[in-house]
Amino acid sequence: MYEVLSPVGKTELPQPQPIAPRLGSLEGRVIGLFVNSKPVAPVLLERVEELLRDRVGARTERFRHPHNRELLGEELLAFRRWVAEVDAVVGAVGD
Amino acid sequence: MYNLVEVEKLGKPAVALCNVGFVQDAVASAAVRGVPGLRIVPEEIPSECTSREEIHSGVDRVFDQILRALLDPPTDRESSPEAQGLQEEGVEGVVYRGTLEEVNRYFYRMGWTDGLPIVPPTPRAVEEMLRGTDLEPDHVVAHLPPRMGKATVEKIAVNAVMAGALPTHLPVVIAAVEALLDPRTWFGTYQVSTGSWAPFVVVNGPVRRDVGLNCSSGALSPGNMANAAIGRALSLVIRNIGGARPGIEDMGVLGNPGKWSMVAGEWEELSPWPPLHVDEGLSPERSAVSVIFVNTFVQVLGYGSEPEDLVRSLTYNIPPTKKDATAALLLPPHLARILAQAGWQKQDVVDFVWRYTQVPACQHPDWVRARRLGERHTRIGAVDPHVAVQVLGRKEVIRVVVVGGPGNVMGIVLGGGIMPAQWVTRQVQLPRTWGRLVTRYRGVVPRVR
Amino acid sequence: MYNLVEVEKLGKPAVALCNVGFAADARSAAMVKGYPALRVVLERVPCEATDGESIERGVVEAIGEVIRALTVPLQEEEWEEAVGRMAAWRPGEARGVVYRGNYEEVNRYFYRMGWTDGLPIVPPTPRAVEEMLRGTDLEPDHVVAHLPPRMGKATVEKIAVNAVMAGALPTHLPVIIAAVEALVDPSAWYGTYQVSTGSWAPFVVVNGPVRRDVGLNCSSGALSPGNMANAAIGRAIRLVDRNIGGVRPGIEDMGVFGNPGKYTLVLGENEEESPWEPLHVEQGFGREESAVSVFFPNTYVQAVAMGTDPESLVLTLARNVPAGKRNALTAILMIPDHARILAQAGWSKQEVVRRVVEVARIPRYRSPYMPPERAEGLSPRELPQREEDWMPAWTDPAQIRLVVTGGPGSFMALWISSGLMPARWVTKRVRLPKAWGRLVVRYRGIVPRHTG
Repeated sequence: MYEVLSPVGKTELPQPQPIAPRLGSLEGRVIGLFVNSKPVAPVLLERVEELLRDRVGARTERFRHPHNRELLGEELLAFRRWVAEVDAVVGAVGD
Repeated sequence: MYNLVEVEKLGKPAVALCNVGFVQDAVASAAVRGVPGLRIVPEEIPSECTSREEIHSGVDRVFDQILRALLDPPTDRESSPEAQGLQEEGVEGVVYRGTLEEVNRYFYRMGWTDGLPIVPPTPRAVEEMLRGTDLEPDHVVAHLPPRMGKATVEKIAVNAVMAGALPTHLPVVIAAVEALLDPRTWFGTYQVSTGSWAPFVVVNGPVRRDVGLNCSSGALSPGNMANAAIGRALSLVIRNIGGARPGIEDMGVLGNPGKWSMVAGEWEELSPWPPLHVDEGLSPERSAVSVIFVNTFVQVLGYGSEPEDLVRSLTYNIPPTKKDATAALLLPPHLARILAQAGWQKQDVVDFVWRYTQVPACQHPDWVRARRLGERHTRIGAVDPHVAVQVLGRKEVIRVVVVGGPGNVMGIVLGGGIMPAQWVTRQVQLPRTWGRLVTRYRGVVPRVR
Repeated sequence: MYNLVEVEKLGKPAVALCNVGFAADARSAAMVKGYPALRVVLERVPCEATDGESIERGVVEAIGEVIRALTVPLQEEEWEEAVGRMAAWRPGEARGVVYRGNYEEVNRYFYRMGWTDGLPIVPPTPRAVEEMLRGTDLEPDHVVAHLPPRMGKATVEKIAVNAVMAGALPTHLPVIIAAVEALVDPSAWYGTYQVSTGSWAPFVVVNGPVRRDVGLNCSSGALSPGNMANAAIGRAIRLVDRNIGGVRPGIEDMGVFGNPGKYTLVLGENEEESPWEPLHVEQGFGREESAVSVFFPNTYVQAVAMGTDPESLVLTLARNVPAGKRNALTAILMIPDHARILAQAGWSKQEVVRRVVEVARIPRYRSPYMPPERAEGLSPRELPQREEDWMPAWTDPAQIRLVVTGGPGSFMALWISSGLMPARWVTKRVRLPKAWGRLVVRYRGIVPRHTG
């Protein structure tokens, strides 16, 4: 008979945060498109851009992500400045 | 060595001129074949040396020893050998009693494990394991080189217990042992060769789902008991029944983590093509294992997602050193479907890769070796350095296997080309009570999904 | 995902347009950052598709959902479900005894909990963990690192629990701790490699006296199963990755095919038989120090030397780099016999590497497409204009390290990572406990008798 300890590391998960308030309507809004370094993302978001413009009358702004890692330092500051200029963001994951 | 033993058995003196690093190996294999006194002259020429001068001077240095080995009469020990240094292994019954730690350390000290914890093969555990087959425990599945150990069903079960396998894994392990022993795999050569070859096992048919084999994301990574334990059991069978100890019989120079386990199920449900075992002539509702020995594994991002991009990513990433190699081209289902929708069959992929994997002759190993040895003619012809030559000479030993998760990555698993090895497929024989057995062990899976 | 969480933190709505195969991965990443309700819209564009048609179809199918995700307020049941998912996601963090059972029961329980690699473990009892902790003078609750993606706290004690499970001895613990320290160095790009589709395995080279103290195999078959130190150290690192980092195959670890190197990929440099300075000395450590060096390869090429003269040895390495592996971080594994041939020609390790880089060239058309932003700043020599022109397989010799290891024979080998991330080799010193000498004596006898 064995009594055993857990191998799982403690994670200090943050308190769950609700998501930001939604926009109600997208007409005339500026939607940021977050383009990561994966090959499909630019083409995919290009089409999203067209559809958002044609269907709901939104404008779009792109942000190019230079790599696949969390943004840090100067990159993060630039990213925050960009977010301040847009009303919402769509990003592509796993392509 | 085996052929020199044959010379002695025919009553003629034989002498093995043997690279100094392989003497222990040579002694062991001569003893196994019953001529422990076979004379061995160690030489110090670098392996696969291509300088004539060096080879000649290496021979010059030991030439007197060669003469003496041929001329001097046998000593008493040489003419009436006892099984020198060869213990009788394969003892029956209980060999050791102890705690989990003691059993693990004893087995490791005896050279019976791979260095990781084992499940102690108690009579009860082995008995449970044997429910996985209707074969009699003393049924001999094969004799495994180099020691020609008798692979009985019971001994295979002992090793399967140690590996952490479930009884439902046993039929797959037995079929894989049978497949390995087919002379077309060149098992006897590959398991001990300097190239560090690992058995690559593809499982097909309903047994994949019955035992919960991973056919998807990370099929070749640790994490799934069936993939991990079946491959490890096979590796322990090779070690403990075949008797291939690392650094003595198994002369793999650098080693290969594929020897832990390299077992994948083909994702038949999502594949647009007939599964591997069906191409090998079995019906889809049969289960089967297919094996080759491999020592090179390339993973590469697709160059795009058009059919041509996909096959090009395969052809440009096969190193020329793998000339004439057996090969498995791994495609995840979503990339296979792109090809299938454009009309490609598995064989079209094979044809393309076989034809267009080309390099300038000067990059081909045969060309370089021939030039170094001052020869004009090579197996690939006496060609100018920039003539394009094919790398994969044997179309019939290339297979496409559909496996893997989402993501634009392709895999190339490469075997040997110097020996004329081939793919071997064996049907998995399930016991009559299979349904009950599957129900019993089906719950042993990670619940986190 | 992390960057989309950042958007939410700044108070703006974000939506992840996510390939269907990566849904669990995306949700897991959002939870780690405290945003379990971040909206994920699934699309079915084939991964990395380049044909306009399938992208068009996938986006058109998903666009309505994207618009709703940006406009419809967070629903109560949506929030409750998200919080519930997050709570259920942190099992087994309890301190103290979590399970009681016989050997089989412990193994099956741990496997069901997703805590093992599918092979048998040694049950981590308090007594076994206490014994393991003799391998270090660090306090059990000392935090070595926070491991991504879950940012689990890698205390010395939790590392010891995983080392016990792997079958390691207390003498292996300092090497495991140093390897964890090396992995989390930002230059290793661990957070990306451990979860990427490329199935990258941590490759660990051990240098210095600790190799012999713990009986690491530096010779024939160093990367094969068979040696407890090589096997258990690597396995412990991977269990730490799984249980503390929280990387589950197919969820966080999206490796497409997997990699048997993830069982363990640990070897010692054969310093005694090498004519050159060892890797850790090259990396700035003293010869008498012990150190581990790591990087993340996913490709293993073994090649018979095309000849045993110095030039043929260099050619064998240079000509067998897969063309898609351009500019990748690489380990050359070289047997002592070959190293001596090259050293006798008067070449240092660096000179051999320099010559390999000089000779290894591939035509541009055989290399994957390079996005313009990555091509920026490359000279025409590094990236020629014409597809038929040749370019170097490596542009910087610093991407390659040469390690002397292995036994008799004539094989050469390359372990190759990727050129996509600016990762570097990372080396960390192994810190031994004060009672090291006694510890070594105690466990030295645990070796197979045929090697003893």
